[in-house]
Formats: sequence, structure tokens, C-alpha cells
Amino acid sequence: MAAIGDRVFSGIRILEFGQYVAVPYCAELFAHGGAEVIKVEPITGDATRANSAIIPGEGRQYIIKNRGKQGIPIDLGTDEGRAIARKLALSCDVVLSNTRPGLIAKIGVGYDSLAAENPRIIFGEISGFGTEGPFGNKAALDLVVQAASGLMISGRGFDGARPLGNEAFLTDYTSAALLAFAVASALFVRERTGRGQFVSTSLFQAALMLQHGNDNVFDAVDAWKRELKDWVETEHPPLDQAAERRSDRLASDRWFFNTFETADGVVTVTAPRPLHGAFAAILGIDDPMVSDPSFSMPDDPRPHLAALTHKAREAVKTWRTADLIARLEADGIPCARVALPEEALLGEHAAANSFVETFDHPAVGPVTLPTAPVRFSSSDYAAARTSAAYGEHTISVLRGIGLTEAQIDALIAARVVGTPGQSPYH
Amino acid sequence: MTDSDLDAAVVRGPFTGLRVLELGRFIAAPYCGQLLADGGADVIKVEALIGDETRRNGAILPTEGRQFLNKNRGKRSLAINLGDEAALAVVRKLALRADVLIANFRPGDAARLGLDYPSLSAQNPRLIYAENSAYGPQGPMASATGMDMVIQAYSGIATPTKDGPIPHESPIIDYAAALLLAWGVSTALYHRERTGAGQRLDVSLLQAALVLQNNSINHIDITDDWQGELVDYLKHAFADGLSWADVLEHRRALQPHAPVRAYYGFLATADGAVAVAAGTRPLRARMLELLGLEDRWVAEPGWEPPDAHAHADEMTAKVESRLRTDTTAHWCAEFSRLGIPAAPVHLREQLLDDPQAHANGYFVRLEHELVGGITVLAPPVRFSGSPLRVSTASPTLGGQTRAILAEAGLSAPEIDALIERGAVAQWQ
Repeated sequence: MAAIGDRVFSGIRILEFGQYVAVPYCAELFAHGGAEVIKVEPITGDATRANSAIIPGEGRQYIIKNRGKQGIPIDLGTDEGRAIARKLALSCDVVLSNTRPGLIAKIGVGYDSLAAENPRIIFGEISGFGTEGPFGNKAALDLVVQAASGLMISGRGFDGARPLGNEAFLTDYTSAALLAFAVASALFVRERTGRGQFVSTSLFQAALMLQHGNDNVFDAVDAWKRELKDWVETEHPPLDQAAERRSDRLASDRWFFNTFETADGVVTVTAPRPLHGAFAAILGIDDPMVSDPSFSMPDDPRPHLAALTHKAREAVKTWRTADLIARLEADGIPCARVALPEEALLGEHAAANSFVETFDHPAVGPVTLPTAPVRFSSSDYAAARTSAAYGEHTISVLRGIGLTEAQIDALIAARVVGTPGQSPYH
Repeated sequence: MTDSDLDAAVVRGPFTGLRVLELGRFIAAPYCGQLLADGGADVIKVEALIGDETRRNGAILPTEGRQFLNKNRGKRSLAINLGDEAALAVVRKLALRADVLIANFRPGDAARLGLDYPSLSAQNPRLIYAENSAYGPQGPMASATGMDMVIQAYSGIATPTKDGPIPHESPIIDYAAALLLAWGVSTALYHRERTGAGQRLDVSLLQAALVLQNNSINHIDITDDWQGELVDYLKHAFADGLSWADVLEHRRALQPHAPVRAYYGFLATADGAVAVAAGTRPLRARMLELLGLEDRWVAEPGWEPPDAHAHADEMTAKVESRLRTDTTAHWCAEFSRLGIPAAPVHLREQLLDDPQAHANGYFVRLEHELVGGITVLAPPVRFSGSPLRVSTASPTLGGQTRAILAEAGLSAPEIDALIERGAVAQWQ
């Protein structure tokens, strides 16, 4: 075991049955902290190796969330393959999975059967929709959960009646962070009690969490939420009309929390109390919420709010972006020019904070991507290596759980496990 | 505490027995504090005498706003004037006996108040100090204040439409940052358990926004020169009078593109839209078979259409013409039968009575002493051995001030004196 303390997860061994985004990214967070992460891939290679492949077997989506891991392709359809998977799981501190519901138990590596032999094991699982209820066994990917959870509508972008959704895989990355929180918490508990446990979350919960601010019912004021739901489910209005009625009901048209066109671009400004008044002064707007202590919002606040928003939009149009930002920042009002993702990635600020870094991938060359998203003052925590080539660690991983050279050769010959020489990508 | 007491306590929640001091405002730090409170930690929330700003956001009663109620449950409130030297000394005292301090100070405020990590850790080396900032501690934006909405702009995560970028209604970056912060705290607790040492950790909203966009925020030199070209073009595009529609069209033309839009996206049906995510070639093939369509790009691995955009437009039109022949419910059932992820597009309010959400216990009912019945989200992670649980609703402003000061070692007359001159407040 490596010395405790030089890397925050030194000595921790993790077996990953990860598909697509959520669990692979979660496991990568632990690899950045020095955990030994072994990724079990299908014998045909992880599906993301072929998605937007840069070269055969090396896809963008594989490279960016499997850094610092070892990989072993195993045919889990064979008895021998399943036996190896179980042996590997029992040699680990943590097992992570987002395979289809039920599959992990069927191949003999479910939490209950592992914990019976190793009560210290921590098992982390991400499902699409949770394990109960009408969608309990439903296949799910991020976009589907964005749809089913309302996240798509609260994203507000529409093309006609069709919501656009967010380009970012919001529920995947959020559930990855949730599971990482749970596994680290379980490691802390295990350090105190000696016992492991099962921790789980779902893409659906992640979506609810992202909408936490309004995903709640306060009986005193929220009767409209159930009315809206009933109306949608009985009348089936077109989605854009439903979204509009909802948006009217939310009356969240806050002129001081908004995105504006300037003379030469687009800028976002947020001026909560006590900055609200300063922003009004800069734009030369009189908002009675600031200027009139006896002001109370009309019963239907929409015309009042819309009129103020209109005034603010007209006022901002007379400013050049750079001038407005300088003026707002002088008063400490949070604001930014609206950027495209490529500008954030390649911009000076992200580089200055080492939020992005360039790595040399042995097969595809230089890759620039976000670094480990949490900084620790005294634990070494950094992304170290690139992702593995197909089957790069098969032999060393099998040696690590005590298989002999003859056993390993037999498994390779029977194609139960994969090596670089047998890569399906040639 | 004996070992068996500890066992029993830890089984109640992973953070049982931990003292957390929260100097949190708005969302990121308070939501992180709530996750720790749900896990059994004793979280003291330090509030200004007029209360956290969010007590007045979506106010239901004068001091009880929606945005306070839904991310401060299970905590105790200390209402205190940090401008008063004696009051500030009390907060420092609480920090010196805390296991974890969570903060999202404005840049520079922590050092000014003597609540920065170097000052506190000198006396409390086991302290875990978790801080959230807007842009991170270095770089041209380091001293700028920021909020979710602004970072949605700065990070490029807002949905770009031809009428301009539309920010998400929910503060998605704040919540992602809160999670990364909570993960950092758990990780540091684990590290402290093994080594005895505390440490400082920090997360920024900008980093959280990058994490959420990890799939597309990356640059692989051999294929991505177009990204640098786009950044250069954007330096003058708007000044040259181009519109957002022009900019997005230019970006679309530059961006390498796989024609997946017909298989992965929101597609029109007879009565609305269905979300489909046929993310792999076999699933796309099954979808084509179901709809009675053919696509050479799916059938022949390695074949790429000469114009990917035109090909995607053509296939999307064909797929939608089939989907328009029946309802969303019909297509969801058909896709589900074939193992293709699909779902109807919901409004958020529909989730409040959603059988799926309730079957999994994703919501919880609480009684707030002033506001009454509330339905809020349950803790978003399930632990088999040491579950996160909701203990109480959020505290009333300054509801526990007296008790907290007594725990910090102040005598009753000292507490009375502080209350008397308005340095702290205790409301009944």
C-alpha cells in the first residue's frame, strides 16, 4: 500500500463497471486523487471508444473521462469472465456501476453477494430513474432524463414548440459528483466504523437537485403547481404554450437578474439586494422596490415587472459591453459578457487558474481539457495520466489478482479478456 | 464516546458528531451545508442580523423565503453583526472548535475578518476549510464577484439560440459547485481520519460550469483547430455588426459534426415531442427498423456523409415524419420495448406528483414552525448503512443564538450584553 497522505486516495482500489458518462467521470475523480481504478470494458471495447473517434479505438468521449485508469476488456457473457470480474471486485475497496438495472447482480458482482464475503466493500451505483416505480427498470441517458424531469423546459430554449435542451450533459455530471460525494463519505464512515455500505443516486435525482430552488411545494403559496400539472395532463396543450403559461405563473421576470443586448454584444447582470439599487442608478431606472419603502407588489405583478424589464433593456442598449462591465464592476455588481463554451475553454482566465490543462495522449497527441475540479491545500490531487489504450493493462491486472501466466494465456486465447494485439479497432 | 456509541451514531448519519460552521450566502455554500446537516452534522449558520439575503427571496413571511427554506433545513441559526469586534471574536471562537468551515465569502472578506484559513488553521490544524468562489483565486477575474447567472454567461453554458443565449432558469452551476464542495469536504474528512491533518479546499463556480460541460469543453489538437478560429472570429464578430444567428451559423459550419440529430434529441410526435437517446449504432439500427427507415451512416461503419449537416437534416425530417403518425405515449412504449432510452418532455411541476419520484422517496414532507406544510427534495444520495436524513425544517432567524453562544463558552451576562447592544440577536 502506498503511503497514506501523499495522495488523498492512495491505497484505495476501485473496480469500475462504467458506461458512457456518469460513473466513468465519477471514477476519474478518484483516479485524480491517486486511487487505483480498474475499468472493466466489454470485450468489444467501451462504447465511447467508437463515438466521434479521433483514430480507431480512441474516441473523444473515452479519452476525456477515463484518465489515470487501467483498463481490462472482459467478456462477461462467459463463466470465466464473470469469475474474473468477481475476483477483481473482491480485491477492491470500492465497486462502481451504472450498468442496466439488475445486470450487475446477474453477473455475480451485486453488492449483497460481495458484502457477504467482504463487509468492508463500498458499492456505488447510478441508475437512470432510481430502482422503484414505473420507470425503475428503464434505460436512460442524460437527454431522456432532462426531458422527463422538467430540466429541458426550465432550460427555456425553444425552437418553435420543440425545446432545445442543454448541450451540456447536466444530469450525467451532476450524478457523477453526487456519487463521488457519497463514496468519499462512505470511505470516511468506513474509517470510523470498519464497515462498508451501498450508496446510490440517479440521473433523475440529479435533475431534481439541479432544480432544487423551485422543485418544492409550500402549501401556503403553491396551489398553482398542482393546478398546472392537472391542466397539462388533462388538456395536453402544445409544449410551448404550456411552458408559457408556467412562465407567466412563475412571474420571475426580474429586470435586475437578466441578460441584455448592449450596443455591441450581450451581457448578463445579477444585482441582488443590496446591489439592486446601484444597478438601477447606473441605468437611470426608478424601481419602487428600492426607492419606495411602502411599495408592495400588485396582485398580478407581471405588467409591473415587464415594464421595468423593458426600461432596463432600452437603457442597456445604449452602452458598449466593455464600458458597462467596467461601470458595474466598479460597484461590485456581478456581470459577464456572454461567451460560447470554446471561449471559456481557451480563455486566459481558465488557464491562469489551471482549470484547464494540456496533456499528451500517446495515440492522439495533445489534448486540452478541464482539470480536477477541486483543489486541496495539502493532499496531492491532480489529473496525472491519459486514458488507457484497449487492453493495455489486461495482463498486469490479472497478475495482480494472482492468476498464473498459463491461466492468463488461456483466457487471452479464448478471447475472454482482450489485449492490444486483439484490439477490435484494427 | 465508546466504540459502540460511535458505531450507532455513525449509522444514523455519516457526519454525526461533526461540528460545521457555515458562513454561506445564496446557494453553493448553504446547499453544501444542508447536505452535511442531512448527514447528521451540527451545522451552525452564521447570519447577518437582517438574515441571509435569501430569507427575502420568494418571501412567504417577512423572514422566511422559499430560497432560504429549501437549503437551510436541519441547521441552527446564529444572527450576529460581524462588524462588532466582540461578535466577530465569538465567530472566530466557533471556528476554532469546528471540524469543518464552509464559506462563500466575497473576494478578500475572509482575510479582512480574520476568518481566513492561515489564521484559523494556526490554532485549529484539524480544521477543514471549504471555500467556494466565483472565478477561482487567480487570473484576471479573481477579484470579481459572481453569481450563477453571470457564470452561465461567462462559461458558455447558456443555451445559444438564434435570438441570443438563454440562461437556464435554475442555478445549475451553484448546485454543481455545492456538490463538488461537499465531495471535497468528505474527501478531506477521510484524509483527516487517516492522517490527523485538516486542510483547505476550494471550488469555483467557473470550475463547476466546466465540469458540467466536460463532454464538449476539451481540445484535441489534431482535430480541433476550428475552436481557436471560432474564438478569434468572436473577438470582432459582434463589433462588425453580426447577429447571434450569424454567429451560430458560423459555429455550426466550423464544428465537425456527426449526423446523430435524428437519433439523439427531441423529436416531434403527433401530440408534442419525445426525447430519444439512441446513443450507439445498434440502438440506432433498432430505431430505424422500428420506423421502417434506412440510413447508410448507421448501416455502414466507416461511411461518413459528404455533408454531415445536410444528411442529419434529411434523416431528422424522415424520422419525424414517421413519429408524427402517433402519440408520444405510443413511441415511448415502443422505444422502451426495444431498450432505446426515451421519455416524454415534462414541465417541472409535473414531477411533484410523479409516481416515479415518489416511489423512490425523492421528496419529503416537512412542517415549518412559521410557514406550515412544505414538500421539498429529499437528500439526493441513498446510503445503506449511514443514511442522510432530514431532521428539521430551516431555522428561524437567530432562533438558536443564545444556545450557540453558550456552547462557545460565553456566560449568560456576556450573552445578554451582546444582545443588549445589538451585536447578536435571539428571536423567539
